[in-house]
Amino acid sequence: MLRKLTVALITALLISTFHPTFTHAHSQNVSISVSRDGYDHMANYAVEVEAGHEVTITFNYADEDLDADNPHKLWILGAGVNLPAVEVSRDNPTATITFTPTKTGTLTILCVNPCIGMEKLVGGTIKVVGPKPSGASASLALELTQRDDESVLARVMLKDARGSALSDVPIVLTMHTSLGGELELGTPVTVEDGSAVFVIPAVSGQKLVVSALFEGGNGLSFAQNSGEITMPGAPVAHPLGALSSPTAPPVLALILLVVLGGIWATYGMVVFQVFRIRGDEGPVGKTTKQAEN
Amino acid sequence: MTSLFANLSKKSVADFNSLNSHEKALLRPVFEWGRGFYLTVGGLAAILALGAFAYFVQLRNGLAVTGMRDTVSWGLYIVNFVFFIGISHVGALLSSILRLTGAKWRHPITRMAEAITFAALLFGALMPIIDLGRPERMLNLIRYGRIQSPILWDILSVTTYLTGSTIFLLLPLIPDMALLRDKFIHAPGWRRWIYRTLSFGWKGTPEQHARLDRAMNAMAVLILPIAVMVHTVVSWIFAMTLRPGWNSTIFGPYFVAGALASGAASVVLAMVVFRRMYHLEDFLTLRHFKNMAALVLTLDLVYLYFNLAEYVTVAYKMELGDKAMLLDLFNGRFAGLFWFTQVFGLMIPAFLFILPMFKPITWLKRIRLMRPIPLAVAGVAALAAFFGLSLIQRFIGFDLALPALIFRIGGFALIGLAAISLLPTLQSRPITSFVIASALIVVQAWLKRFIIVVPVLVNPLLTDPAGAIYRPTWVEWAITAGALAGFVLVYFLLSRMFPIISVWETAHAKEEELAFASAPLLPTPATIPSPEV
Repeated sequence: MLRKLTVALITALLISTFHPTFTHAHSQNVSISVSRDGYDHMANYAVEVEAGHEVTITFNYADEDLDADNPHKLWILGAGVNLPAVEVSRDNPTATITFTPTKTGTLTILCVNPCIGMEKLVGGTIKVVGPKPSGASASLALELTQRDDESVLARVMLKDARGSALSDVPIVLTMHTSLGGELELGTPVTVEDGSAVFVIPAVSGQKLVVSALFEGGNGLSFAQNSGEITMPGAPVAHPLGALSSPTAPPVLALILLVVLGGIWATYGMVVFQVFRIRGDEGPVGKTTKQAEN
Repeated sequence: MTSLFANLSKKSVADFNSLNSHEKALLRPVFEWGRGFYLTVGGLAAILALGAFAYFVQLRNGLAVTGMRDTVSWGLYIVNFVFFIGISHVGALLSSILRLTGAKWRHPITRMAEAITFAALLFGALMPIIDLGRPERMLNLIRYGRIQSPILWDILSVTTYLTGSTIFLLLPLIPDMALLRDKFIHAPGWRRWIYRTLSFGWKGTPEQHARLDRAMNAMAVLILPIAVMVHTVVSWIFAMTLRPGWNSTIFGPYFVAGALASGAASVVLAMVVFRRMYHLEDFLTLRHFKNMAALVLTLDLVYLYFNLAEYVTVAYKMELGDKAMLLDLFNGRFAGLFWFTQVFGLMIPAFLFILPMFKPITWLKRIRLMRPIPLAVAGVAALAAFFGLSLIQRFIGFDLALPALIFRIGGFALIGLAAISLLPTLQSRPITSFVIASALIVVQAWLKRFIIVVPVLVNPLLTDPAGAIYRPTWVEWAITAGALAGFVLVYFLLSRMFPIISVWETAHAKEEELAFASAPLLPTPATIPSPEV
C-alpha cells in the first residue's frame, strides 16, 4: 500500500513538473493540455504521425485555476486535413477529434478563440510523415544557381530507385551557419516531375552551403544532398554609422567626443605617470636579479 | 610554520619566513595554494565550463534555444548585465569617496571593492555579447551604430568604465607587486613574471610615491563620475523607451542607488568570507563592519525611497498602459518576487542593520516557546504538510482546502516566530546580522533586475492583453550560473595572486596611527616657537 502510494506521489510530482503535457504514443494518440499560456512550446513538436493512418487528438482544458471560464476553440488544418473547430471549456473539459491525414506535411493547430491573432504563441504543429521506409533507396539531386544579385535558386529533384519522379513530397532545405549550426530555410514540395524550387536570399560575396533532405516515406529510405555557391562580387559595403554618420546630431557627437575624449586623455596621463614610475626605478632590476640568484 | 605550507618548497617557505609579521598575515593566502584552493578553482571552473558549453549550444543553434522570442526579447542575460554592472559600482564608490575624503578605515576594504568591480565588469560586459544572436558582428554596433542609440552609449561607457576600473585596481597594487617581486623570489616563473611586470620597477622612492599619488588621485576623481555615468546610461536603455514600466524620469538615480546598495552589500559578504578564510580578524574588525553597515543601510534606505517614488506615483494613477504590468507585479505572476524584493530584500535588511543598536532584547530569551530550531523545524514540517495536502487534493479529489490553509498559515507563522526568536542572538552578533542583511540585499538585487526587465516585456501593449510568457531555458540558466561562478572564480584568483588587503597602505596607516597616538595633544613648551623679537 505504502509502495503504491509512493509510486502514485512520484508520478503525480513528475506530471505536475512537466506541465503542460504533450504526449504521443505509437498508436497515433496525441494529448494536449490547453491553457491561457498556450498549449506547448516549439521544442515539443517533435511529435510525428504517419499519413494514411488514423490519428486521435485529445484536447484537455487546463485553465481551472482561473475564476472565470476561459473556453478555447481549436482548429486543425494542413496535411490534407480541414476539420471543424472543437471547443474545450470548464463545462466541456475534454474534446477528442479523430481523422486520417492523407498527405505528408504539417498539421497546424490554431486557437481561433480567444487567441486568434497570436497563433505564433499558441499555435503548434504536428509533423505528418509517410509510412515507415522499407529500405528502398531514393536519389535526391540539388542544384544551386544564382538567380539575380540578391538571391539564389535552389532546385531539387527526387527520384526513386527506378528513376521515376516522386511528386508531392516535402524536401527540407537547410543552410549551414557559423559553428556548424543549421538554419532551416523552408520545406518546398516536389511537383509532378519530382522537382521543387526554393529562392534563398543572398548578398554579394556570400558563400552559401545548402543541404536538402528527404526524410523518407512511401517505402523509401531517406536521402540527402548538399551543395554550395559563392555569390559574385565583393561583400556589400555598408555606410559607416556612429560618429561619421551624416545624420548624427552634431551637438550629441560633440558632447560624446568631449566627455569620452577627456576621460581617455586622463587615462593616458595616468598610464604615462605609471610608465614614468618605471623610469624612476634606479637599480631595482639588478637588485631583483641578485635576489633571485 | 612548515606544517602550514605542505604544498610549498623549502625555498618558498624561506621566502615567507623573510616577511615581517604584518606582511605574513596578509600574504599567507598568496604563498600557500593548498588542496582547498585547487578544489575551489576546479569546482568553479566546472560550472564556468558548463556555461561555456551552453553558450556553444546557443552559438550553434541560435537564440531559439533560449526562452526569448519576438515579444520577450530580453531575458536573463540583460538581467545579469544590469546586476553585474550594479555590483561593480562599489569599487568606484568606496575607493574614490573614501580616498578623496581621507577616511583611514578604508584601507583594508578598498582593494576588495576594486577587485569586485573588475571581476563583475568582466562578466557584465560579456552579457550583452552573449545576448547577441550573431556575436561575430559585434563590432558592427560601433561601425554602423547610430550615435542616437542608448545601446551605443552603453557600449562606449561600459568599455570606458572597464578600462578605468582596471587601471584603478592596478595602481595601488604596484607597491605590493614590488613586495612580492622582491620577497617571493621562488614563486613559479609565470607568477614572478606577473609580479615583475606589474610592479613597474617600483622601489619606493619619494619620486615614485609622488607619481603614484598623482595617478591615484586623478583616477579617484575621475572614476566616480564615470561609474555614475555608466549606470545612468544602463538605465537609459530602458528609460529611453516609451514602454510602461520603463518610461520613467528617475531611472538614472534609481539604478545608481540600487547599484550602490547591492555593491556595498557584496563587499560586506566578501569581507566576512575573507576574514574567516584568510584569518584577517586583526585587519577587518567590528569597526569596519559597523562603518560598512552604516553605509549599506543608508544606500538601502535611499533605494527603498526610490522604489516608493517609482511605484507609488505610477500605481496611484494606474494608467491603462501601466495597469497590466503593475497588477502582474503587485498581485499577479510576479507578486512573490516583487514583495520578496521589497520586504525581505530592502526592509528587513534595514532592520537587521540597526538591530545591534537597540537595547538588548533579553526578555525574548525568557519565553520558553521562543526557541529558533524547534520553531523552524515545526514551521518547515507544517509547510511540507501543506504541500502534501495540496498534491493529494489535486490528484485524489478530496476537498482539503481548509486544513491546507491552516498548515500554510501555521507554517509561515512558525518560521516567522523562529526568525523573531533569533533576534537576541543576532543582536549579540552584529557581524552575523550585517552579513544576513547584505546577503538578502544581493539576492534582492538580482531578483529586482529580473522584475524590472521581464514583467514589462511580458505585458505588451499591442498583442495579447493576457500577456506573453517567458520561461528561461537550461541554456540561459547554465550561462547565468557560469557567469556567477566565473565572477567568483576571478575574484578568488585575484585574492590568491595578490594580497586582497593592501600591504603597503595598511602598514602606512598603522605608522600614521602610531605617530598620531604618540604625538602630544598640545604643543609642549619646547615645541612652541619663541616669538621673534
